[in-house]
Amino acid sequence: MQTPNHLALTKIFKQKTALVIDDFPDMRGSIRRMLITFGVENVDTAANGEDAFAKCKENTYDLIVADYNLGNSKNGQQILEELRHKHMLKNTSIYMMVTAETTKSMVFSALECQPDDYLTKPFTQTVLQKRLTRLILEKEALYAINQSIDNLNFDQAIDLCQQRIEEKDKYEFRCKKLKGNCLIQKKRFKKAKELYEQVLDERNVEWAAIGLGKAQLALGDIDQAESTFSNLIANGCLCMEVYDYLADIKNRKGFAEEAQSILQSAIEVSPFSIPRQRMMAQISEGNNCFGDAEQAHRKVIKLSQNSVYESPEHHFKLARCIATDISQNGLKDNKRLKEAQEVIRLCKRKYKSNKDVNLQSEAVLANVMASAGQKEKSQQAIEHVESQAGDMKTQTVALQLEMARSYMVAGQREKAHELLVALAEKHADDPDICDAIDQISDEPLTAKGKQKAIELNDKAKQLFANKEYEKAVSLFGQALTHYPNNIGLNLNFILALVRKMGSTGASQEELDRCNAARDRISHITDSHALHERYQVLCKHLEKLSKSFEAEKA
Amino acid sequence: MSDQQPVEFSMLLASSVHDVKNSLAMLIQSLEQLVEEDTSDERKSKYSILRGEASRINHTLIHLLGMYRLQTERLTVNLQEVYVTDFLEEQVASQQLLFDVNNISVVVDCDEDLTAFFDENLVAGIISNVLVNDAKYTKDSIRIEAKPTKSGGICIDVIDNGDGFPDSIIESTQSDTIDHSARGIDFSSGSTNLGLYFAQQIASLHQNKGTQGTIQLSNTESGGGKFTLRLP
Repeated sequence: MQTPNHLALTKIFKQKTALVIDDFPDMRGSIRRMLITFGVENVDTAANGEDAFAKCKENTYDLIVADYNLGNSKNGQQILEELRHKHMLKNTSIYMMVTAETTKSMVFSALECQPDDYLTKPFTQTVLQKRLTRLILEKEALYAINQSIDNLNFDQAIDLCQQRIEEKDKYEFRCKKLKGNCLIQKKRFKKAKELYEQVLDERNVEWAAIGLGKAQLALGDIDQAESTFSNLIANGCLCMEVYDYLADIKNRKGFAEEAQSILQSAIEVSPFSIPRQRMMAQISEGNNCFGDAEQAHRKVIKLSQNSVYESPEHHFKLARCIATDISQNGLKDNKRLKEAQEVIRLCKRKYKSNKDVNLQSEAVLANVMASAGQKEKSQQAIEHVESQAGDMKTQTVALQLEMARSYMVAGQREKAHELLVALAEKHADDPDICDAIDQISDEPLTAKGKQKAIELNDKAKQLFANKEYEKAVSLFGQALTHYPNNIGLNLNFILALVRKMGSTGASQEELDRCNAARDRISHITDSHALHERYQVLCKHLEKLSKSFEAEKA
Repeated sequence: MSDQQPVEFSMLLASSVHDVKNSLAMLIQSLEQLVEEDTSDERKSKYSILRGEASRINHTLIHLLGMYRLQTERLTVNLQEVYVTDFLEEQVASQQLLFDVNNISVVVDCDEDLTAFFDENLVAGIISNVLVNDAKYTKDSIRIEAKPTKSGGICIDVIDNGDGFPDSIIESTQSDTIDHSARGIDFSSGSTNLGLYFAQQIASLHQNKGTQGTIQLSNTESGGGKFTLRLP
């Protein structure tokens, strides 16, 4: 072993700083001793996740060796995810996971959250040394690429990857993977798709299939993406990101129940992802599963504490969710109302020095009160906000949106409409605000929303003419995720489903989807232009339900 | 997964394996420290027995868990690009003490830049099991050769210079699949061939474009044993 190479390597080890994470003191000590033998001078240790974060806040480590199983604390994978998320672990550094298992049972929530290497217990000192040496050499060879990625200079990283790929050495495949990630980051989806297809042509590797699915989805090939992700799951892919994407696709296609159950299974395995919990809350609320939605909302609040995700909006969403539950299910007792009030109270306390958040909280409270039938108190809250909010021009968009929601729930539809139209005019170029506006209003108010509604309508008419009811259902379902309150859209959705059941037979799932759509627009008054159609469809639906019940019996 | 009981058993099995592996890790590391401190040949050979048996316990554990997985749920293969030279040298390094004490020279013959796609952990279980066996049966040398195949796969030979495999065992790997119920596992003779069965199963789980991995046992012209693993 005493080759010149060995000396050079001791030198490399010497410059590294290392952290060993293991809950078992003997193992911790033992790995630490080994690293010191290799020449590493600075080796810190941590017994659990909390310890590890504290150490990582103070130091930047070149090398982290973490056990997967850390007793009751976060596991090695969760620590990795959080470190990556908080940008506390550079791509030029090494994260090695030590596991007791020989088979693939580690769940990683995203492709970017795989450790650089897994080492299986029991291992000897020589094996650890060989592994680390290999990894250090690889990180050295790809240093410039990883550094560009750390600096978010993806264009440069892509060029560097291409240069390395052309050298056709043993890092060729590694560089293709890195290049694919960078292309996705830069939203160059066509290029990414080409790269992944070319890799998959040679070899069916998971990362390339996941990348391909992402690119397909981004390019709008929803059906292709769906089949890519479904195949991955069928083949035992443990990347939970794939579940998220598939759920998103199902939801977009209007299969919200299926989307919810996919997310549910992903959450059971990996409950710590905030985006996943957020999607779960949104979809289950749309499915009228308020218990699930509430649980997810609460999880989001808890997980985002002290993180970049923290926002009063999470509290508002939870309170609104409870409010919708109260009004939709006609809950008369005060228990739920008190729960919603408590959510708002905590939010106000948390952001007590922020006047705008306090006003928004008040507006949400008005919404909650109106939902519980306490009209007077709701009106008082609304008036209070109006008197405190000052001139329209100085109000934040968030506050105005919140007020529009409350007007809507309190039955002041004209006021809501007026406010939303003004917002739509002023923020025509901001897609996020436009989406929020159209989600609150009955009809699309923004130019973009109107355009989209016309397009969808035309497309669906054609599908109807061709008797392609299933496709029409899927199209309306997609549109409903954007404009859940749109009356015309909900009616068309019901009509398409009724027609579809007329040709293929009814099912409980489809009837449930019809009823949910009907409930969403049950506030429609007889003066509304579409009221007659609404009543006709309700009758159709009733008939279908009855004959379905009779058949079942 | 529909039945409640197997899930609980699998949890139990997994956590037991975890515990035993922690113990094994400590045992092996303490042993290696002892070897460093105490270099007398007589002791060393005793340490090597301990080390060899610790490896056997570990392999049996891996096989047991793997078998259980094969039969109950799906044992999924995690295909990854592996640097073959590093991988093979690592397998040798993990049994170095065994080779040192028994004066066995081990040579790895493989192109430095050769990479292949397989499940590193599962295949490591196969190769190190073969190495531990070879350490017992070879005379004084083991040669590991790895070459790419024409179809983009890899072929790994582990060749010793002992007395070769008995015909009965060679035959058992020549049938399409090793039938463990009929002849592979023979509890009365004490040789379970569980390792071979496991190796065969793991090899065949590796698939690419319609071909699957295989294992083969044979004897060389000079009489030594040769274990061959082909992965697509």
